[in-house]
Amino acid sequence: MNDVNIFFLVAHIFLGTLGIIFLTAYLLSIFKKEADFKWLKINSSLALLSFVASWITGGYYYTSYYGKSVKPIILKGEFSWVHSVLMETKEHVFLVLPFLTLTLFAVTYLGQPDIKKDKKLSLAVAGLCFTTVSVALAIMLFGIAVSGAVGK
Amino acid sequence: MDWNVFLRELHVLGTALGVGGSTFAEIFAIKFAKDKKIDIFEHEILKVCITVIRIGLIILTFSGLGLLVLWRMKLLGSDVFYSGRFLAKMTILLILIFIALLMNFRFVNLKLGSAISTASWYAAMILGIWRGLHASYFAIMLGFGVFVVLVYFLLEYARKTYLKSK
Repeated sequence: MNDVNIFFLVAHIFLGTLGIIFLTAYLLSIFKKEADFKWLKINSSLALLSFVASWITGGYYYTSYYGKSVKPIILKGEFSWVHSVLMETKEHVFLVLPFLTLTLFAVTYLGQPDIKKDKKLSLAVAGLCFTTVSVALAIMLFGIAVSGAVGK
Repeated sequence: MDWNVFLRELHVLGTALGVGGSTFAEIFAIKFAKDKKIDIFEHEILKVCITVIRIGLIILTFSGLGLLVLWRMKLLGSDVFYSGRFLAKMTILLILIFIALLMNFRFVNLKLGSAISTASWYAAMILGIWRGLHASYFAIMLGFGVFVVLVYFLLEYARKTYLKSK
């Protein structure tokens, strides 16, 4: 693996994890008695930026290295199911993540007065955030499992 | 200093902050429960402990992921990534994150939640130190379950003993 691919792999992991941290901070803030919308906006914006950047860096790593050099090795090995099940799921579910975060970002910016007043709406937004965090965590774990399928 | 040493040192620092923060959070929570109310000063101290735990968790996560990238580049494969010890550590990390969220939303009893959280930090530390452990994932998780129960009753005993004292 050359330095450029290592950089994109590390950036992909780092940015994806940052996105999870920002969304978790969002989730912790929205349940406060007096939710601070300044922080909710900052966290949703940073989470969106992180996931979009992780999307791009992950896409570059996949097309320039994984697909050509790693995937064939995994498919030939004893853990071929890791690619066919986990990586395939990761690839497709991963596409949804920035859009889920974009929805959260848009709702936070446009629906601020309603979220403050309507408890049901704030619970629904928290539910959306929890779902996004869970999906992102699952994708991260799938990525770790895929790394384990490549051995000497 | 190479990346491996740097990331391992960060990993140890994250664990120390997490284990230390959760230990002191438990000690202060027991001490502050004596008069059955938490004043502003006590609340601030507990908030500091929680912040230390969160910083520890973030350092632990990033340094852990950095180590995983190094292992991936060394092609250590299934021997490391699918070992019972590693999978148990990942599971315990997930438990830590979810129990923190559940406690924050009061979806779980605080005494039970804090026992699970403290036991998880100690279990993650023990698993990190115990490199020669070759038990299966289920055996380790069973041991973890027993450990959580032990920690719960130990904390309950400490709480009752302290409340009766003086």
